[in-house]
Amino acid sequence: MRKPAWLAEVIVQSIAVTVSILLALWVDQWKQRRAARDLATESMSNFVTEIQQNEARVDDILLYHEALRSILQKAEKSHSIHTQAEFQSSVGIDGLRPPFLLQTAWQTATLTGALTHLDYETVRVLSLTYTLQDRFREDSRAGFQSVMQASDFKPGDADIAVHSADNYLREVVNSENDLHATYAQAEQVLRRKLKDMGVVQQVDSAHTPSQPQPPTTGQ
Amino acid sequence: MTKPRIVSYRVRAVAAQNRAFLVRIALCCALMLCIPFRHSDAQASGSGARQAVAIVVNPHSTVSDLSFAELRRIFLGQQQFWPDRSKITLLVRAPVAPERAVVLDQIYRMDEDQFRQYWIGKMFRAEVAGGPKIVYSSDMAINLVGAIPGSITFVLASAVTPNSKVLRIDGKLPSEAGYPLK
Repeated sequence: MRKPAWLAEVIVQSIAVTVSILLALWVDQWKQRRAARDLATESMSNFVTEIQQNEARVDDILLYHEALRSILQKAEKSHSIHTQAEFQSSVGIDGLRPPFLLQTAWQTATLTGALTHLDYETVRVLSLTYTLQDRFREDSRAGFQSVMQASDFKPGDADIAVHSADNYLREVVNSENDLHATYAQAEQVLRRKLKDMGVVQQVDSAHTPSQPQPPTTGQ
Repeated sequence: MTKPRIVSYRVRAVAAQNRAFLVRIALCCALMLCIPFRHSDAQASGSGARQAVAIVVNPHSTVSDLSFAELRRIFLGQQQFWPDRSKITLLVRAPVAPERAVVLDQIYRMDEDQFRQYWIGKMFRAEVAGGPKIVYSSDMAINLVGAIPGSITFVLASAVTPNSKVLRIDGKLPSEAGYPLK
C-alpha cells in the first residue's frame, strides 16, 4: 500500500522543524556556554591583575614597615622617645597605616555570578586569598586604632606607646609577608588555570598590570 | 633779678627740648641702624627656604650622581628602578617642612593640591604600587633611607649626617655654586 504524498511531506517537515529547533537550542546553548566561558576568562584575568597589583602594594610598603619597626626597636631599647612630638617625628602615625588593598575583582565576580562559572579549585584559592586579605584589613585596622590611642600618651608613658606600635608593626609585617606568599601562590594557580583554558597569551599581553617593571638592561 | 631768672628758665627749657630732640634723633638713628640687622636676621632665620636641599640615598646605592632630569623622573614616579634593577622607594617630608616646599616648587613644579592629585591619579591608573612614603623629620628621613635599600629622600643640607650618602645633582653637591635645589 502506497503512502500518500501529504504524509511524506508532513514527516519531512516535522523532521525539518525538529532539527531546526534542536539546532537553535544547540546554538543558544553554545552561545551561553561561550558567554559563560568569556565571563570566566575575563574574571580570571581581572583576578590575576588585581592580585598582582595587591602584591605590588604589599611589597611596596613592606620594606617601609620593616624599617619603621627597626627604628621603633632601637627607640625602645634606648628609651629615646619621651614625648608625643618625638614619637611623631620618629615614626609618625600615618606611616603605620596598612596598605590599601583592592578587592574589586572579587566583588565584581560575586555580583555578576562569574564565580559560578569557575571551577572549584579556583574559587577555593580565590576565597582563601580574599579571606586572608579581609582578615588582614580588619586586624590592622583594629591594631592601628589601638596604636592611635596609645600614641596619645601622657609624659612618662612613651615606652608603652613605642611598645604598642612595635607590636602592631610586627603583626602587620608578618601578615604582609603571609599575604605576599598567598598572592604568589594564587597567581600561580590562576595562571595555570588560564593556560589550561588556552588564554595565557591574553593574560600575558593585555591583562598584565601597568606596574612598571625593572629594566632588563642597565641604563 | 627776675629777668635773668626767667631767661635762665627759658634757656633750661630750650636745652631740655634740645636734649629731647637729640634723644629722638638718636633713637631714630638706632632704629634705622637696627633695620638692616633685623632684615638679615630674618633672612638667616628663614634660611630653610633658601638653604640647599640635599638628595640622600641609601648608603649601599651604586648611584652617586644624577642629572636634574633624572631626579625629576624619579620623584615623579616615572622611573621606579635604579640601574641595578633595585626598586626605588621615595621618602617625602610631610607638608609644611621648608625642604618639601623647595622640592614641590623646583622638582614637581606643583602645589600641595596638584601633588596630591598627581599621586592619586598615578595610583588610580595603576602606574605605581604606592605613593611616596611620608617622613616627619629629617632624622626620620635619614634613619629610613639608611634602612630601606634603594630608598631616596631629601633633607636640608644642614641636616645631613656624616653617614649619609648625598647625591651630586648635575655634578654638583649642595655646598657648591650652581646647585639646582636651593
